[in-house]
Amino acid sequence: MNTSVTLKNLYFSFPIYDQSAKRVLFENTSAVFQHGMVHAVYGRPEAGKTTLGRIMAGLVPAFTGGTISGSVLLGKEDVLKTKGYDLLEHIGMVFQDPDEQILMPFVEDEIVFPLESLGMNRPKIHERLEEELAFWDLEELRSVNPGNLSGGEKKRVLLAVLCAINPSVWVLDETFEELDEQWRETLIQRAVASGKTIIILASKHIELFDIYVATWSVITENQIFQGSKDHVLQLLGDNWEYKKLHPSMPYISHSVYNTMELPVLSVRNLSYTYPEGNSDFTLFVDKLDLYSGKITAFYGPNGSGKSTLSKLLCGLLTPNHGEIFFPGNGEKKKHAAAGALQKTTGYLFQNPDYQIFLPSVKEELMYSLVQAGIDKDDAYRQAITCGELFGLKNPEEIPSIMSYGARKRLQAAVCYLLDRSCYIFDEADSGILLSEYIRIIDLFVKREASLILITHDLRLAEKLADTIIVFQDGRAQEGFL
Amino acid sequence: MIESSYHPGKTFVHTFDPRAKLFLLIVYTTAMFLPFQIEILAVYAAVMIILAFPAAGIRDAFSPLKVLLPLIILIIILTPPFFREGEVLITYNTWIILTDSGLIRTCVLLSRFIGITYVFFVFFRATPLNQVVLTLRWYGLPIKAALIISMTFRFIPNVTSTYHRVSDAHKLRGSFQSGMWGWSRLKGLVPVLTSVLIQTVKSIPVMSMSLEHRGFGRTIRRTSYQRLRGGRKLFTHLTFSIIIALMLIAPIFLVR
Repeated sequence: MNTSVTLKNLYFSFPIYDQSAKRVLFENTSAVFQHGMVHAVYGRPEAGKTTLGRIMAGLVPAFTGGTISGSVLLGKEDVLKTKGYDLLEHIGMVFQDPDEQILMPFVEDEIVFPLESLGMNRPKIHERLEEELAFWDLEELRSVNPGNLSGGEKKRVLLAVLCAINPSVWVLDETFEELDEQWRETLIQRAVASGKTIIILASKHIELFDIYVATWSVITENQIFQGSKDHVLQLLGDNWEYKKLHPSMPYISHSVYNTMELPVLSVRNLSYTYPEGNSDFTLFVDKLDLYSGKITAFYGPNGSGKSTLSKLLCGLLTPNHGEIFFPGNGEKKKHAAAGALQKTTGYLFQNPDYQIFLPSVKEELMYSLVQAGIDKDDAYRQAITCGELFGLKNPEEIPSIMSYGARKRLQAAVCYLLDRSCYIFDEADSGILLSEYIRIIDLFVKREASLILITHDLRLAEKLADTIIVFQDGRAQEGFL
Repeated sequence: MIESSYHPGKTFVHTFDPRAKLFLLIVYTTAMFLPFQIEILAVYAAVMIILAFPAAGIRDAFSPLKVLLPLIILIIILTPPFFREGEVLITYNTWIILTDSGLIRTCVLLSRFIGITYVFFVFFRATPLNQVVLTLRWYGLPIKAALIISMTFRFIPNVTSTYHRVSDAHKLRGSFQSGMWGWSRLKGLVPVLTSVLIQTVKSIPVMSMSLEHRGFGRTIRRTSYQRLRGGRKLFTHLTFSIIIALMLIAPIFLVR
């Protein structure tokens, strides 16, 4: 069966909520993704890549609302006239956020569920289940609740589901994010070898797909443009990460390194084992020093201990052995209390919504200032200035309906106002432009804060960080690969 | 329910057939509402607490009591004043604080409350969720209803973990701290619960979308990969469970 995906005169606009303007995403745009080839669709964050994938899968506007017209053909079948569940064997999508897609209480059930929907017999389900569990190295996790897995492991579960269904069209929505380098390579090899129509929705990793991609597309100005790679990069504009990571581009205003300076936070002979559930894993850190105005990158594969060490550093976990202490304050080598660590370290979570709860940008920004005893008028002035610094121009805007990128900026602004001496950026570059990410980092570095960047992107780590801490099998050591 | 997630094990509580366990759960719950003497209800509740040890381990066996503690205290405080007949046991000036009938009613309520909580705790701690769903389907529950139950049990721990992540995030924002008590804790919970609520509400349409993308709703008949074993083991366990069920109900006829 020919399963080309053809978009003809596609129009889509989001539903209008209170205070939000009508937002048109696609306007009279057409594109063709030929059968059996690899197609890369690029776009800046919020350009509409996810919505495009979900339109192709028959899920938008059915579950989101909005206005759609034109046609989306999967082979000869008009997706806009078909229910999403009837497209199961035709098109499969891996969502950008795995938590949005995982449904079942066990990894094994997650893979089995769509196969049961297909009416597949038991031996066939068993065969596919075992095959995919082995391929994606999930055999030991088969009886684990997927909700308790790391981001990369969750992505592997969803990829196992996709491969088990083996639909004619694979839509990979930023699927390479959160996977470590080994699994990124495995995924692209598997996708290419499948002979299916592969549509990669991405904002990064051009170098990974370079040799496999048949067509390049870019979503910009409500249109999908198809053309050569160079043409696509040109349309993406000057701030595109491909250019930003060019070796000749200096962009972080690092402070001068002072060897006599005492670290703001130090770790010595630390070990940590989870009390239950993850008991096989132990983290060891012999020595780590974090300096004011310096950037430290935590780099390593999924489940290697990056997030665990981060939680220890900000006092959310307590080490079994060893110390985390503040030598800069003249403190002796004695483990700092959780409360003290929580007041020293700020954390930018991957999901900005964890820290946002108030009805306006202004109130979000003023909250911590007022809590700290600052006069309301003064707090308001500081909040407005900080909002402008982070590109939040409307102080009355409702955070929960702002775009993802704007919520990320708001989260960064909230953390900035906390004025901590150390900040952890947990893969904070996802969903925002690299140029924007770099600008935010720069703002924190200028404040002389010590920054920790958790990343899977070695190139980014090498470019931005003063020190790279490499995580491997629970050991964290300073070094370069 | 939040506390009642599966705890892997190989004890007799774990290996007992889930269909027999569900049958006993229903009979036990019914028996706890029968007009038994307090001694019998207390024994039933105690048996269930004892069964929690193999089902959940020593550390977790008392976790339901910790969760129930505020309600237990309320029952102890509020029940006796409503039962003033019988022999007076405690007075304060002219106030009757406790009578023997008030004491018995309080103990009956506590036994029922603790017993029923523990029977569900033991069942869900010792039975994997997919077996619970298969058992419900074996008893004739439609697939959609079984799936709703399965999703609910997946969703509750999900909300719990969201709560933990959000409260961690707010601890680092300074709006919520562990060790807060009373009014300041309640005040600190507002931002956490608001964020959790926003997250939860946002996840509902996305979850429906994911279900449809996994083929839920197709007219084609679903197959079932997981199966519960039948045969001699099932017969033995069901027979055994019927005997236990009769023993549970028997006192209504034997003890007057």
